[in-house]
Formats: sequence, C-alpha cells, structure tokens
Amino acid sequence: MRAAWAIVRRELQGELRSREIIPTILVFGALVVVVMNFAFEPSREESERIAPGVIWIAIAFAGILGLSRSAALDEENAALDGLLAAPVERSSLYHGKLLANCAFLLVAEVVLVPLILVLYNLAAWRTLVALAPTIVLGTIGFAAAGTIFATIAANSKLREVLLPILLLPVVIPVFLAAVEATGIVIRNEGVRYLYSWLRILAVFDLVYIVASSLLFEFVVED
Amino acid sequence: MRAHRSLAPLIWAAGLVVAVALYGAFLYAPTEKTMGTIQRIFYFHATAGMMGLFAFLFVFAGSVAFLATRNLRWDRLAEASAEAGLVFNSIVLVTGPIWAKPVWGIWWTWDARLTSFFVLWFLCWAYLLLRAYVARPARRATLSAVVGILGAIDVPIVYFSIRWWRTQHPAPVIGGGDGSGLAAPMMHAFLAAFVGYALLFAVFVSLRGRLAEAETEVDALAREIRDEGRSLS
Repeated sequence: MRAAWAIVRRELQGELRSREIIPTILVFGALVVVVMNFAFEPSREESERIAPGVIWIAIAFAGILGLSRSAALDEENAALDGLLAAPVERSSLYHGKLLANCAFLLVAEVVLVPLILVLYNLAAWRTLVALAPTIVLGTIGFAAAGTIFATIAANSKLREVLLPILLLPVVIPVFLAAVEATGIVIRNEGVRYLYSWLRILAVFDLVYIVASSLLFEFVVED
Repeated sequence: MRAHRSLAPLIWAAGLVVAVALYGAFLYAPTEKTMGTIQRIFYFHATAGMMGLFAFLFVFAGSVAFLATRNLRWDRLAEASAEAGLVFNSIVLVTGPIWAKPVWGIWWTWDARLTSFFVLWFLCWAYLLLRAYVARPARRATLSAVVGILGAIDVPIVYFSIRWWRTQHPAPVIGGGDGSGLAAPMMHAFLAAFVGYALLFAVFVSLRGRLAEAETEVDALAREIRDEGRSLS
C-alpha cells in the first residue's frame, strides 16, 4: 500500500509540474458541453433530460484524453521501465496509477460538473451534494478500467487511438448506471432507485478493480 | 509441421446437421400462432446468440489458460473463437431487426439485451483490433488475453441484464419459468439448429486455429530467414 501511495505522489507531483492532464480534461470537457449545446439546443425541460448524458459524455470523452496522456507519459523516456525496476508488487503500480487517474478526473469534475449544471440552469446546492456519490463511483469505475486499458493501448501500434475502442464498450454499464443515477438526482426522484443504480456502479467498480489488480502484472511484463 | 487429423468428417457433419436444421425450421416446425412465418427466424437467431456467448466463454477460457501456461495453443483457441464469435454475433444483429420489424413494429430498440449484444459485437472488434496492432506474438497473446478476460466479464452482464434492467426483449422462452416452453416439433427444430451451429462453430474454430498455427510458423521462418540474411551480410 505504501508503494501505491508513492506512485500516487509521483504522478501528482509530475502533474503539478507539467500541468498537462487536468487542464486538458477540463478544456476538452467544457468544449464537449458547448458542442452538445449546439447539437441539441435544449429548451428548459429538455435541459433536465439531457444534462445527465452531457455530464457523462464530457467526463468519458475528456477522461479518455487524460487517461491516454497519462499512459503515454509512462511510455515516454521509458518512465514505466524505471518504475518496474522498483521492487514493488505490480498491483501496487496499478493501484497507484488508478488513484492518481481518479484524482485527475475528480479535480476536473469539481469544476466541470457545476459548470454544466450552471450552463443548463440546473445548479442547486442540493443537486451538487447529492450527485457526489454517483460522480465518485462512476469515476472510479471509469478509471479502474481506463487505467489498465490505457496501458494496453499504449503497447499497441495504434497507441492512444485504440483506447476509446477498447474502453468504451467495457465501461458502457458504468456509463449507463451513472447517467441513470445522475438523472434521478437532477429530477429529484426517489432515493430507492438511486441506490439500485449506485449498487450496480459499486459492483462494477469492485469487479474491475479486482480483475485489473490481478491482470496488470501481465500488461507491464517484459 | 505437425500432422493434422482430417477435418472432413467434422465439416460433413456440420453441413448435414445445418441442412436438417433448415428443414426443421422451415418445413417441419409448425407456424407460430401470433407471429406467423417470421417466427422461424428464431431457430437461427437464438442459436446464433448462444454461439456468440459461447465464443466469449472460449475466449475467456483460452485467455486464462494462456496466462497460466504460456502455451500459444490457448491463444490460438481464443483468437479463433473471437473471430467465430464475431460471425455469430453479426448473425444475431442482422436477424434480430429482420424479426423485430414485423413483430414489434420497429427495427431496433435500445433495450438492455439488444444493446448488450451490440456491445459484445464491439468487444469482439476491440479484441481483434488489438491483436492486429501488436506485432510480437508472445506480447500479442498476453495483452489480448488480458483484454479477453476483462471483456468476457461483460458476458455474464449480457446474460443477467435481462433480469437487471427492464427490457422489451421476451424473457427466455426455454427455462424462463412458468408459461415458457416450446411445442415439441419447435423444440426439435431448435435443437437441430443448435447442434448444427455448434458443429459449424467447431469447424470455424478448427480451421482458424490451424491457419493461426501456420501463420506462427511462417512468422518464425521469416524471422529465421531475416536473421540468416543479416548474419551473411
């Protein structure tokens, strides 16, 4: 676990110095929102209906950009090989990168989600607070699969181009559950339905984290 | 070069049973009361769907076995199954809308089961695309095994999505609880289609597996020639 924290510190320090990933996620995420607005030109009622989708499309698309950048940085200057020389469990490496990727996404989302809610005239403190569990669980699921798939994609000749093709089909259940849960919060519907979607998200997070922890050593071998 | 048993008996058996299944589905089985003739597509739609799911089970098993043993045989099984799975999943996605249009009045609906199969189809593509863009055989086998395993985790989701999400797709007709079940002749036709497709699946996987084996040998020979040339020059 200490090894994982060391990786997290390394990733966060790198990001503090280069400031590449979080601004990229933020700017691209905001752009997605603007493009969506031109695509749908939602009325007041429509805003409520499409905002959950816009939030998660922005997170997914911008997140893919951030994840592939994070994996590409590991390949550049053979940084990953240096890390692999350290006598730590490969799963710690995965956990560290996962936590760092979650952190990058969450920091960007803290700005992005309120921005979307303001732009769609849905902002309210109650909504923001109630959205937190959904955003966190959805982000973990997205990053859990994204971290391992980004490393796999970086190992192929297609590099980052392959990531969305590998990742999007796999995270569709996360996406679906997150959009549904977000919609329930925005429309202020029953907590019971919200819990059932959050439970699905939690199950996915657990499955992806456990499976990826076991499989990550194969991805980074040799 | 390893000597292979002839695949001819398997291929003949597959051809024969598929022919029997065609007879069973179009002539032997009675016309369904409410849906009419179009229902006959069921015999191939449902069985292709089952093959598509089996294919991913094989990809999963082949991937796990490869990571455990590092024997490329298992990688070839996974690769061949993924390609066969892509064929059967494509059959599902084509026959589905043809059946849905007259019965439901729509070509497509984004319900859980249809969408899951669509996702499965994309997973097949993702797996095969990754394979196409990793050159070194051992590395390709390892990376695609990881993707095969992570992707196969989606297969139970496909199956259980019937129960998880509310869906417009009919509940399982066979073994789906009270009120489900097929008339005996329909069941016979269904079983014939199932066995026919299973044999066809076996033919695809065997042929593709042998092709992959030949590819590996050619790759190794090409490398040998290259190295030979380098040492000469």
